[in-house]
Amino acid sequence: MRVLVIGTEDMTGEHVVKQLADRHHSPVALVGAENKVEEMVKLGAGDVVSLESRDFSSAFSGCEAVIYLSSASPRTGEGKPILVDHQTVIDSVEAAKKHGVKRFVLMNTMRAKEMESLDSGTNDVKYHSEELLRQEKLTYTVIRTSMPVDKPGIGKVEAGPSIVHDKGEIPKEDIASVLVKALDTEEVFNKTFHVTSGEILIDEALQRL
Amino acid sequence: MSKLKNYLPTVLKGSAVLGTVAAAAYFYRKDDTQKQHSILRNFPLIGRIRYMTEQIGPELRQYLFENNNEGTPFSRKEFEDVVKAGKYKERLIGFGSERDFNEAGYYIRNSMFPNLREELRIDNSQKINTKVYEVDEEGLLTRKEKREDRQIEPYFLRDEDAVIIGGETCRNPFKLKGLVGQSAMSYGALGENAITALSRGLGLAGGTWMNTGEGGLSKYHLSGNPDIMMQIGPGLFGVRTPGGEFFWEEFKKKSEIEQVKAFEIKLAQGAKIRGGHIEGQKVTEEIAQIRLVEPGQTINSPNRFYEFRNFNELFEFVERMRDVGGKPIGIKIVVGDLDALEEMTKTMRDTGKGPDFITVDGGEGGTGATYQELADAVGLPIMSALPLVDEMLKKYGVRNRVKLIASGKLTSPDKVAVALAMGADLVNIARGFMISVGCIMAEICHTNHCPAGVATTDSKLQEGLVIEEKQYRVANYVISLREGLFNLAAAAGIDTPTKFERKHIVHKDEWGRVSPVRDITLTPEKVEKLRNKEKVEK
Repeated sequence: MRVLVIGTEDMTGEHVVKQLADRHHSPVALVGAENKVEEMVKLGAGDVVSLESRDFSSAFSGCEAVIYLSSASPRTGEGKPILVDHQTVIDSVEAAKKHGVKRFVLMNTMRAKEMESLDSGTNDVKYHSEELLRQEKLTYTVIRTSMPVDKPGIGKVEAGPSIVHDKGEIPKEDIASVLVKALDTEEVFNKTFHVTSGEILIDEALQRL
Repeated sequence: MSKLKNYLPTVLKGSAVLGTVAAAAYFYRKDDTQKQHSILRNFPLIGRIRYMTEQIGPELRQYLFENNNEGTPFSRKEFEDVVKAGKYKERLIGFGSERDFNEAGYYIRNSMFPNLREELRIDNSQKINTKVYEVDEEGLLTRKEKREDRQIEPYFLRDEDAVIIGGETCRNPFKLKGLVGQSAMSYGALGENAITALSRGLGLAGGTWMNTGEGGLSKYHLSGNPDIMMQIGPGLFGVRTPGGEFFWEEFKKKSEIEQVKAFEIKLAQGAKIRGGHIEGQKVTEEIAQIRLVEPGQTINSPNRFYEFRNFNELFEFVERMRDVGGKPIGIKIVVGDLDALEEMTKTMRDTGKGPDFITVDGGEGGTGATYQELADAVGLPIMSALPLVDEMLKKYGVRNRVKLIASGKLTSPDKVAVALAMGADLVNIARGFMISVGCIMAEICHTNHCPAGVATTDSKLQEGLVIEEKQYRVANYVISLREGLFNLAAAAGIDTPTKFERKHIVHKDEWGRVSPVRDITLTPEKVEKLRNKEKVEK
């Protein structure tokens, strides 16, 4: 599957590109600057779209799916003024629709108390973009994670509509696995769920949903 | 029974007092009658305090009396920098530098428009799983910390920035994705635990290399699968025939080991510009097997190779080694005699032959057991030697044929960066890596009694050094150096540390005068020429 990855600036995004390539998908990496192209190719990106040379929307053409990591979009991160850019989520949904992309996996990072259930703090801007995605005729999956940390993945998580014993963190490598596997796991189609580091193998955790 | 209970405390107290008095009397008499120390004869017992404090002086000074910038060979601060980089992978400080800014030294010229992090040419496509310590709570006498898994970025050079040794000359050139490696340390000088921890740590970090030292290639060097530079000294350990001649077949065998990426002929080293010496009792079965010598017999290696007497013969030998082994061949030198240096570079130009890399060891270098007079006075320190070699090679138009590796107390990113700017292509570190595996600078490397279990083959002392724990510190240290180099490169306005040049550093003398770092070997005629050129350009 040709999959567009948005938010490759962070380690999670890099893992997503690598794992997609490992699973014989064809990842297309969206990057902010030309300088990142080489690294993305090394990770296994079949195509790299740099915002320095190409238009944001054009990156979606020919793609069957989008994985969006909203903790790090091309307009956020080091040296960028906004922490999480929800306008880009909205733009991405629009562009996906326009280019006939069928599948959209969105990752949102949650604060600790937000992990308890799905319907807390509904006036948060974070949820508007999720809501918008659900209204569209896309096959969506919204994955809300606890705090991503720079630790090696353990391959085990806890996933569900609410997390009671939240560990408060999840290795970035594991988030990437969840996102990539969610892509073609039918059990998570059109669902929103929380994920944190846990004791259940990722495949199994997703199928249980 | 009850009586015994009543008397017991008194008996115990009594015997404690009596015992102490008896011991004091014994030592008093012993001191009084011995003939070796006059102080003890005149001041029995009391005089012992002098000897005791003298013995633990280095430790006392280090912990109690010296300020953070004092202390040799490494100050407390330099030592801590290495330890912290390895243990916490942390180089952030608060409230400013502790460097003595009144002293003369080199400084990096910062650009008014530094590079952004995303503009740097880093290859972080691989990740490295390591372990670091996290401090939870720090009290006056206690520190609560725990070791945690961490996935970190390796800070490799991009493929096109990678340093390639022997690219034009060898069947198997050596490609380096990082600029810092481990300098020569032999198995035997360091114990198997230290060598294994280093090997695993360097293997984990990647983009670095491990120099075996002249004591031959051991299985401990190979254990962590790092890239290896095998050093060959005049003793020819590991590549010698029973008669003591160069053993070409064995050399070929060693060069066929995939991990062995290059060979280094050691003409000299900073610590000892002399032949090595190992006592027969240290030559165990295992060491004998690695070095290809007879177990139990004292070995004195010559202080020069029998195989060559001048540069022509040396280069012929290098040619043959490269031909047989197919891998890059380098030489390790200490610069003292400028005429000899000139002769070497001239021979390189005239014959079109020569080494693929030259390791320039500063006179200050040295983990090795050596003689004081050799360590202190023979050979120039690295910051003087390095530019001399660089310029000499340029003068004869052969600079592009060799890579320069610098070594000599370059334990932190800023020192490495200055060496790179002074003309080095790569940097070797020995003692920094020793510190990362637990060295506390007890300065008794030559005795086999290293308290940290690093520079000793004593199995009891080595129990203190846990390989599994120390290997991560080695990896963290070297990665942290690479990260620091990229930080400095960004500050200097370049996008990769391979681009450091003289123009990126300045020298400030002790009176605060700042001067650019120019060619040291500029002759008056050359200066005249440059002036004329400037005039024409104007």
